[in-house]
Amino acid sequence: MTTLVTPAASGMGPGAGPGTDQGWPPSLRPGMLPGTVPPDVPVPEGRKGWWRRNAVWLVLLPVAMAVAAGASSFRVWAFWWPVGLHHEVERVAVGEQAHLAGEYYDLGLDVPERANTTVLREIDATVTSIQQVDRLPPPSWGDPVTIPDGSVAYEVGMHFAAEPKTDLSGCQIVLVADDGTRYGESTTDVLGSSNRCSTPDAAGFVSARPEWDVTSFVLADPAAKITQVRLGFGGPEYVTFDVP
Amino acid sequence: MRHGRRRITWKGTALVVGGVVAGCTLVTYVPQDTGVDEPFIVEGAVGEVLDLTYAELTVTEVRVADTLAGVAEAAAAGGTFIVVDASWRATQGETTFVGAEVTDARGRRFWPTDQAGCSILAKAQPGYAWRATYCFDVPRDALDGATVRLARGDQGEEHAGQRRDAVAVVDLGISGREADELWQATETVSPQEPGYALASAGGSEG
Repeated sequence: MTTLVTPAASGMGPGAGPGTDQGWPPSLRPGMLPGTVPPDVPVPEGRKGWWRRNAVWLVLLPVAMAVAAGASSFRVWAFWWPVGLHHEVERVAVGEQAHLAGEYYDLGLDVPERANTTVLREIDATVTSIQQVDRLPPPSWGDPVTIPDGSVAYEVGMHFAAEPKTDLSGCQIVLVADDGTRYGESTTDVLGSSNRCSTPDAAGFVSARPEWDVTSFVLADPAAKITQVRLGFGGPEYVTFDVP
Repeated sequence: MRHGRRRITWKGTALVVGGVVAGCTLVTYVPQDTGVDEPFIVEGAVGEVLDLTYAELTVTEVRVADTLAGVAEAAAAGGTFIVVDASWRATQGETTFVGAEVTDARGRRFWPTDQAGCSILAKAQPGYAWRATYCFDVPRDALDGATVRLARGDQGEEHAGQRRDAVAVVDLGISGREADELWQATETVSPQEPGYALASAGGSEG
């Protein structure tokens, strides 16, 4: 005798019998009619291209690159930009007045009430004369300085006007030749003065009078053609005086 | 909004692995530490003017001494002192010349001493020549074939400060026989203070 074993139909409830529905389709939840689409089942879309799908990131990519380049170039503004004459704020001819304004961090060495503050230094400057000289005057202190062989000396006359107690430390009076060579960049001149924008009798590094005149001496190569005088206080701001 | 996880495909995997392999290959086989990182060596001899772009350098004199007599102190050599007189003339702007060392034939490097008024660096501007005297304490077997290396960049960290920059290497002209004679000599040298080179006697006295 052969026994036939028939498995129970899926979804067939106890009340199911001949002539009734055979049960829910596997993808259809209870309570939903056949033919309806569940709300969380993704509706097939038309396939977008790679460029459209990544449009946002493509727009952000150049922004990210700019930010990365800026972040990795911090040395430019942190170390290079503040030290040295990089920003020409005004350019005039010799004999004309230029206005130099720039901020600096004051340590309060000469004016204690300005200690540890950022101060705006403003000064009007005029190059009154520039000429070669055969001799150097005696320095305020130390031995006389002779003009070395293979060098010539320039005398630069300048007139300044500024509020009293304007900080003058770090003064640079630079002669620039037509080939870009910079003579006299040091804050100390050929006579040993480390306060080139102050009068020789100045007691400190701040101005004492509203207007005053100074003379500074610079060594240069005999063949140099001086085309500019630059004035700065360590930078980055400076003014340029074109030499005719 | 996309649903589900992105599928990992053979194409994507090959792209990533290929990129990594290509990067590793470049780093491994392209000589990245040569060429652009090397200094530009300007070789010369004592008395020769060397153009380093940023300065003109002349090693004016080389002496050997077992004692240095400075203004404030004297110094005795552990080996012997090689005293190098040099003249710098900056050509672009104010420049500090930090690099100074003697290299012997075996590649050993000796840095300068600041004893007895000797210079370990120099600072100059365009418009004049600036004199500096460097003193190196070296052993006997370092004299033969020694050279002096001078530059604006420092020689620390395997000459890191001199990469892609001009460097002067001057043969001191000491042969093996001369090295023995120089070692036997008992000279005392008084290093000159740094100052203008070749000052004019006819200049102003104020």
